[in-house]
Amino acid sequence: MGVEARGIEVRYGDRVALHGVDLDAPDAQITCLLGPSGSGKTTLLRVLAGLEPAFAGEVRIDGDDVTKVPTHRRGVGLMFQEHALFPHQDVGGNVAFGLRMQGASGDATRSRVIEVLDLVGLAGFEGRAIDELSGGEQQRVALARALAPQPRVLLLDEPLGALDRELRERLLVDLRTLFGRLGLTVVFVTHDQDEALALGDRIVVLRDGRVEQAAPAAEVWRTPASASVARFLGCALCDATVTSGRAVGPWGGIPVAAPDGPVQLASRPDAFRLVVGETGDGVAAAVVAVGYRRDRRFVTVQPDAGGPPLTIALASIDARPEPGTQVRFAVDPAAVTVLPPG
Amino acid sequence: MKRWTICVAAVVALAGLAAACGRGGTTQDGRGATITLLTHDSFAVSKPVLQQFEQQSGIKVKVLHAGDAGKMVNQAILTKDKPLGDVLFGVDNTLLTRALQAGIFESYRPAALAGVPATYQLDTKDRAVPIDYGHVCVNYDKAWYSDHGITPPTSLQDLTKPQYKNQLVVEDPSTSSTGLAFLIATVAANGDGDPKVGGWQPYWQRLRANGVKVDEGWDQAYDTDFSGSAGKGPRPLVVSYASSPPAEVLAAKPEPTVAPTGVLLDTCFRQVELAGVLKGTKHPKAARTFVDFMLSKRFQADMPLEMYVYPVVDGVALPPVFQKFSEIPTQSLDVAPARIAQDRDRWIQEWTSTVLR
Amino acid sequence: MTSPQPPTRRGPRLGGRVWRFATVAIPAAFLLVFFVYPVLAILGRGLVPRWSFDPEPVGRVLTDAGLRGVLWFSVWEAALSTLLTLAIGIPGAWALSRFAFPGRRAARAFVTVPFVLPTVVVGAAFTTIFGTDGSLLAILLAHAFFNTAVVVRTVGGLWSQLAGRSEDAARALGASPVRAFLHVTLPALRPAIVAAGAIVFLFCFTSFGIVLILGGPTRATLEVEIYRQTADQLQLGVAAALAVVQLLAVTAMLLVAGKLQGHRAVALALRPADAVARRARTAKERIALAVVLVGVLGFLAWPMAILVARSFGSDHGLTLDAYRSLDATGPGSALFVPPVHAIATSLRYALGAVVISVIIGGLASLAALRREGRAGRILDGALMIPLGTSAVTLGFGFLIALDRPPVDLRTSPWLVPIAQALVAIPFVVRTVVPLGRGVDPRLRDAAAVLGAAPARVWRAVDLPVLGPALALGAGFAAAISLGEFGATALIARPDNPTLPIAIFRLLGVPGAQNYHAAMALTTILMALTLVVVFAVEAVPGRFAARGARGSRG
Repeated sequence: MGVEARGIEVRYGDRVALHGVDLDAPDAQITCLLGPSGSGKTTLLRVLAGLEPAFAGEVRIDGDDVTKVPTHRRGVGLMFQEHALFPHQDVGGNVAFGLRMQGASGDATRSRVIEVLDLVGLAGFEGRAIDELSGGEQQRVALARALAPQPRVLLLDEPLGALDRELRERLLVDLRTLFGRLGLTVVFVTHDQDEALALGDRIVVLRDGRVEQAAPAAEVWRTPASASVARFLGCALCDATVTSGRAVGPWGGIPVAAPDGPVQLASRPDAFRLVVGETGDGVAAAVVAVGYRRDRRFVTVQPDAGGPPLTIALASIDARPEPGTQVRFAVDPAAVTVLPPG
Repeated sequence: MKRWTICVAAVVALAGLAAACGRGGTTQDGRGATITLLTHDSFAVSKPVLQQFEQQSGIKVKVLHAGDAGKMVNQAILTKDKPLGDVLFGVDNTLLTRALQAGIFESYRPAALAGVPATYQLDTKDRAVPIDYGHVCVNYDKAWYSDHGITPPTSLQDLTKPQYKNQLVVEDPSTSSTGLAFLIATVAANGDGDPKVGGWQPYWQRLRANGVKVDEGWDQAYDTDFSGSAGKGPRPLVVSYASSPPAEVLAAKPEPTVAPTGVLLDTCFRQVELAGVLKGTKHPKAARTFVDFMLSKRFQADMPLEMYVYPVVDGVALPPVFQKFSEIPTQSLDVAPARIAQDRDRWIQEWTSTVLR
Repeated sequence: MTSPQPPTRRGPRLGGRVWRFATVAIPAAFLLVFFVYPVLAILGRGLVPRWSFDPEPVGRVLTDAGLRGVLWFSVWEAALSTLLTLAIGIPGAWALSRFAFPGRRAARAFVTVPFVLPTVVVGAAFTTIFGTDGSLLAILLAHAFFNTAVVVRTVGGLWSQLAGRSEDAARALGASPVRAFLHVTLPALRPAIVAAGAIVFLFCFTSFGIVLILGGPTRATLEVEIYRQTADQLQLGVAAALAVVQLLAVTAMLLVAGKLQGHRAVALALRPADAVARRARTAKERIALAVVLVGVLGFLAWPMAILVARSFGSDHGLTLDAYRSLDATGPGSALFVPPVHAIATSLRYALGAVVISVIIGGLASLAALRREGRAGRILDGALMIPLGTSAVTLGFGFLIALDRPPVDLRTSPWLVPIAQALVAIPFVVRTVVPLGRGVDPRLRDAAAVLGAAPARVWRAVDLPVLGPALALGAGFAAAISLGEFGATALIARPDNPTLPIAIFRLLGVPGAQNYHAAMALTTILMALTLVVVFAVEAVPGRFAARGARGSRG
């Protein structure tokens, strides 16, 4: 059950935004639509909500064909990046809006508003004006408003995009817990692979209006289906040539299960080992740049044998190779994905 | 959201009310009617005379002053589909054809017209009825000239001479019938030929060079700019009426033996003022009764002291002050009505270009 | 980070086809009947007098020395007025945009007051100083008085953004204050100065009330001459030819002004943007600031103060005689009705004009807000055109076009409100559309997702923003209607004068009593206008600002 979309095609004039996309968002799971700007992920979400007319294709929610059903009768919840709270209504009014549209009684509405606000950690906020709230609080109100009418499926369009990083991390955990507890079917649009990996049960990677990969989150991370997916996830890439089960290239020789010929290799940045010094195992390279990204230290090296520079995530923050230092690196063969040549 | 509905309803209701307020008026005929007299700013009638009319006829009269005669007639023409009044008074022989061509009057021939000399009966179809006449002439302030030791001018040509520089004030012929009358007098005196050779246009150019001042209407020229009136303005020469000196005599206290202002008798144009029943009136009977009243002895005798004009009806006695102080020009600078009708607009146009721009 | 197309593409869902059609068709029909048809009638009279093309009337206008003089006067008085306005407005912009001082907000609000005043009020105010004898200085000063706000707003708005950046940078690079101003600030301000100048020039070129009242018989702009040829001389052919010349001149000027990025709507934003301003630093600066403030504010306060004082004046000191005389009419009074009736008439017409302009302007705004609607965009532009057409021309068009079947409105009480609405509608649309565009389209999506049907979406999301925006537009319409003079002067019936007409009439008749009555009516009109403008400015601001926030395009 859950949400199924088949052959969704969206056109703007001559331009095709979605080329017959299929999507499965299983019941009670979190499906992340991941992709760069312009990949069509928000458009797809809007098609699911009925806000965007599809040129072709059909949408089913819990098995019902809703392709021709207007937005306001689809029973979906949608949360926007900018929250889109009604500025002229208070918190209670916003949360109650969907319930009132369902024709719920005053009492039922009131108790449900209290219940949902409590759920998102905003108990007692009913009478607050929207412009008195912080960004995180507004985000929670938007969530409460989407949840209140008990939608069959919750759609989220970059709901954390406008928030600062710390808040985002905290809410990510909260959302994960909440969705798990409620057993909701969720479709979540993001351009941030960390967010997708942290939240998604399944990840659907979109690019240029096509699905590049649709798989469980761990699988996408482990074995990206294409070079572009790999690049988008932040993997390192290089060209290599396979001869009798060994892929030889800038990363040295790596045992692979692939027929002879040119290939592309992809690997997560944390699958590399780095040794400072001019001799020893691995491939010789020179450090080009060093930097931090959050809790990790990253080193960009230029293999002596040529090929593109390579960014490696160091296991320990204590190692401090200076730019210009000669190093050697090696990759864990188990983490290497073999892709067709680029 | 109910509030909005109420607001909209309120606005619509008020608008309806506004529309309703715009209408109104009575439709009775004859006795009990209120008629409106559309006239120029100089119209006046003494209270007892008007009251007597109202009592005897049972008709109430509302007077609408609509500016100078020219403007008033234009307004009557522009509003002829739904007239502003029932009777119009104050169209003169300079503007008559404009009013007649626009067809604003209904024909009516009062019986009293028999007592009016034919020379005043300008409309053969009796759409406009003559009520009074007067002479538009240049007036001068006697005291000013004696104080300054200058001989007053006597002719139109004198007005262009340097010793009379910056002394004359006239009315704009496009807005004032007095001004138009004077313009026609200068046309009659100077001719209407090729302006390069001569005629009235070069005359006015000389007047302009000699500092003539142009006012919009008679009231402003006479009451504000003329030195010989109560306004005590700066200019001793003004285009006004031959009957203005008796008015100054009456205004002065104690009554002087000689009029304080004089008239240049060689500068005069005879002006006849007419009245008519406006087409589209809701009270035609009452309107006619009022026109009759304007030709009655009572009204005719009242006019000289109220409006400083002469009665057109034969045998109406002039008040003593008129007999004593007013000068009637023996000849006036007249132009045939047909010429006026034909060339009036062109004269005004050319005059405006010559004098104002 | 989102879809490549803004999700606003589909625009608001306003219901069925009929409704969509109506939002375009009703305003279009209104425009067709009350604008296009009268303008065609003018062109017909001016160019095709006897059913054949004949440029003779227009040619006569252009060859007649007097009428050519009118055109020439319109040009040079507008040029001089513009220079004078800039000379007063630029120092004013400097003082009000660059410096923080006590009472700054009040001073900025005060500067805009003359701009919202009816031209008759401005003209009447200047008669207290210069009389009605055609003093050129009076006309120029009145134009400067009226338009200083345009310069202060337009130039000051840009200046406050420049303040403390480029000029400080130039100073740090060793430029003296004067050099920094001449070489950095002035060139940077040039677009705003040119834009403001273009608008002021257009206003002064089409000036009517001020020149009619202050110009005496000798001075006339094209507008005044069209009025005189019609009302005084009944030369409808000449008036039509002049109106054609006026239409051409204004169109040319609008094209130039458009190129110079000017727009009449610029002046609409009465609320100043909060600007970064600093205190005057040096003694020299403080003195300069004080001189400019006293000069500019004094220049703007002086005529209004004298006007109010005269309205209470009489032969025996300060009294309310002038106000008491307003409900009287006698055989000798200058108006057809007691002057107080003019107040009622003005309010009634204003109500009518507001209803019409809110309905037509509101529908047109909805059409313009539906971006997929090409018709809406065209309508949006088309509704701006009456702005460029002078009011007198509009009134003249009404006079000659709407007096016979198929449209005979000459005696309708709606004639004047319709003409005034035509002048006001562009302002309503210009007020509503930007605020409506500010509605976050996601709010509509959010409401739809939460189960609201299209009509309900509109009520929940658009109406709370459009309502106050329409109220604001209605306020502008009311103010415009109250002060409208050019069109009204030609079509109002003398037995139903509006306040500006009554004031003009009273000013034209001699006598201290009439003059004081005119001053009293003028004071009342000024007060009414200011109350309307500031009331609507204050009330819906909160909602409009909130609803518009967070918009992305």
